[in-house]
Amino acid sequence: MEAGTDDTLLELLEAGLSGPLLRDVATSSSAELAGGASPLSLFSSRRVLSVCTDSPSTTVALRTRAVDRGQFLFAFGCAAHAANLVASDAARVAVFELALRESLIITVFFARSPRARWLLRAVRKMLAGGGAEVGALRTYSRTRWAGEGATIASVDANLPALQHTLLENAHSAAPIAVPAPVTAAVNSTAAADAIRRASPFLCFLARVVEHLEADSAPLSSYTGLFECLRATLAKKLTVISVAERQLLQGAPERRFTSFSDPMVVSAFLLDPFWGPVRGRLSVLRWGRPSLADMRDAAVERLCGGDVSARAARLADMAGFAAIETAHGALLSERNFHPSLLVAPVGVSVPRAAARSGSAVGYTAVGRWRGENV
Amino acid sequence: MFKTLKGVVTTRRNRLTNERVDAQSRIIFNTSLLRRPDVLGTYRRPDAEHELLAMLHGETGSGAPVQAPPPPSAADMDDAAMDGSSDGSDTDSDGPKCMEQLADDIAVARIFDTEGVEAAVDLLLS
Repeated sequence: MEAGTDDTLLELLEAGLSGPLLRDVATSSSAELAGGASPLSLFSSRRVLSVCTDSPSTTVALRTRAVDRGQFLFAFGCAAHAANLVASDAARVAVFELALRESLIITVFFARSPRARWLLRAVRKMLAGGGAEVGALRTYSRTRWAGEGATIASVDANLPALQHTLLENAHSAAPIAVPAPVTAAVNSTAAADAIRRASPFLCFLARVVEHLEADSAPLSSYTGLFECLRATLAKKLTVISVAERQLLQGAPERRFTSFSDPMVVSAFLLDPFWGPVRGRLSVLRWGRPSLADMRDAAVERLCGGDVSARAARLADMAGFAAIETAHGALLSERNFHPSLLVAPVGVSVPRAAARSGSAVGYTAVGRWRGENV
Repeated sequence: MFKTLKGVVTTRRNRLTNERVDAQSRIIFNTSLLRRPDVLGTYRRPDAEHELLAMLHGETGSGAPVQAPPPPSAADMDDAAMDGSSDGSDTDSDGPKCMEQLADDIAVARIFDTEGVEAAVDLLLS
């Protein structure tokens, strides 16, 4: 990285935001913050609040600098990138490493050998017997780690057909030369067991990434999905051993704490959708702080040195939680867009929630080019 | 029909000038959507989140997590997957990742032909 790259990017971002289309939208709070205004007082529907980017070191520096200068009130890393890196971390756990390696050996060979590919296809058709066939093997992209779930799951679904294909090949008059590692991978019980155990978690993770990338996930989903990932590892996925699950637990924790921002946690704590499981999820600790600690940090940052405002905001949020616990929210109400989140509780508007409304409306996924600014 | 098409708001392309949208258009688009009652009124949380919530709230399932959607049928997949191109869920349609995937595929094909399957896998895992 060249020195000053983040400055150059920041200048480009500023130039991109200063066009005529945004004349009614405040794209910087530097002047107000320099004048002593608290960040909370700057929330409004006509203000760009946050920046979400992926997280190479240059854009992390850009995010930090942009917030320090007051051009954005908060910044966070892309949730889909963070979840992809969880998949990357998972690949270092022995069972996932074995499953991925053996699956790739099979997939690469059958993708690159036309005769093997067509023989496998014919066997799949034969085994289906006119019914629904299993899907074909799926290739793997190094740039999208969560895709390993699809690769491994497709090998899992194809294992009977693969074994039959090798058998057919061995009995054919002109057999295809199948490399020994491929034969070993197809017939290995250890590999089959690893693939069977690794598939559920990786498919789950792929589903999370797919959902986040659909551009429809609100900011509250950022925390919600990572919490669910950890809770699922703790209570479900019993097909993986306890020791492996404990190893995996560290990955979402590490990625979440390094990519997110306390404001993201606030969005989660104010979204009625997650109400039914919020209490259960909130007890999970992320490193040292709990979600409540992160929420308090967000409130403290928003209120600056204004102690009374801080106390009022915390009381607002406690009131919101109490109302939600007492009354619950109907399923239809939980479907409200987060920017309308004051409506479902049907009570006097908690000010912190109302003012955060425009913030929680933003998506949890960012792609560079400033699309999700 | 053309009048209707011009009224469609998109984050991908400006239908009036036939140019790709920029960062400003994206912000204007998002801000406008947050002010439209018809858009907010029809909003529904994604099925993926509902499934997660049901799984965690009820805890009555078999223990199996939410699964990824089944892959497309063999007929749909074979040509694309086996040509070396990736499937739709695995790549952006127009992003740089697509080019990276293509470069990977070319490198894997070359190494597979010269050094064998294990060397090609080592490259993918590097």
